[in-house]
Amino acid sequence: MEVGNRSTSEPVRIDLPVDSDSVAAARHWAGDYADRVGAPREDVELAVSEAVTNSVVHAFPEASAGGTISLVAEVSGSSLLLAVSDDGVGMRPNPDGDGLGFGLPLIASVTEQYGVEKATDGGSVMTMRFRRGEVR
Amino acid sequence: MTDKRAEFSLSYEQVGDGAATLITISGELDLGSVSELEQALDRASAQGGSLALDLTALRFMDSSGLRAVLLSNERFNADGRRLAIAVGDDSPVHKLFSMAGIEERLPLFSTRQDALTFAEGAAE
Repeated sequence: MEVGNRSTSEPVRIDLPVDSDSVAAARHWAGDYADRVGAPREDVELAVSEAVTNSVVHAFPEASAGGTISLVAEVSGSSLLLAVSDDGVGMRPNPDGDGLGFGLPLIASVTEQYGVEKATDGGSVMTMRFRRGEVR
Repeated sequence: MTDKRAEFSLSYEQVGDGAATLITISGELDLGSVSELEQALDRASAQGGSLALDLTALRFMDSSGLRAVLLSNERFNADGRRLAIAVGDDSPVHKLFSMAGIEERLPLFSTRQDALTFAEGAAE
């Protein structure tokens, strides 16, 4: 869907299964959309990669339980808005993790604004805002 | 249809008359491909000697790759061995290390040759 210089767009969405291959699929989908709307592709790719990785690794502790990770992208004025949501178990402390925890700080580094909310179905929604027309 | 952008490849070789290992990776390094790198790093750790890791041909890397590199660096340091990492200049990978604030914690080099020289020198 071409957006070009339009200041608003209908949201576009992709649903992906919970597996490690979805990280690249989500990243490429979001990166292609960023290119079309003039948002910084590298920043969008990194942020989406981190957000989807978080969902795959932390939101679905029962690997056999299935689940869905969804991305929604839309243009709003001078911004690209991306939401990564899952229908997993939500954010929980992970005492068994190695605690390197680079994901959220990297998202913070490349976004204008970001936030995490509890979804109504118990999963999580991470929303991210990128400025259009700027290359870092 | 497989998106060719995600294609990840890894080569593993002994250099410096076997005193050092060179792992070269290209494509994109993320949760889907990092296990292959981790297996190669485990193999290099078991092999002994120093390690040069060439990341200059990577188009993309995220924190999955950062984690693997950092943990490997800790393991090699604990064993008194060296890990040299080629990241290129102003590459996506170099920018990632900088953003993560860990440039000073790792032996990073601009070129594959510089990393090899360091690794082979440390192996002497």
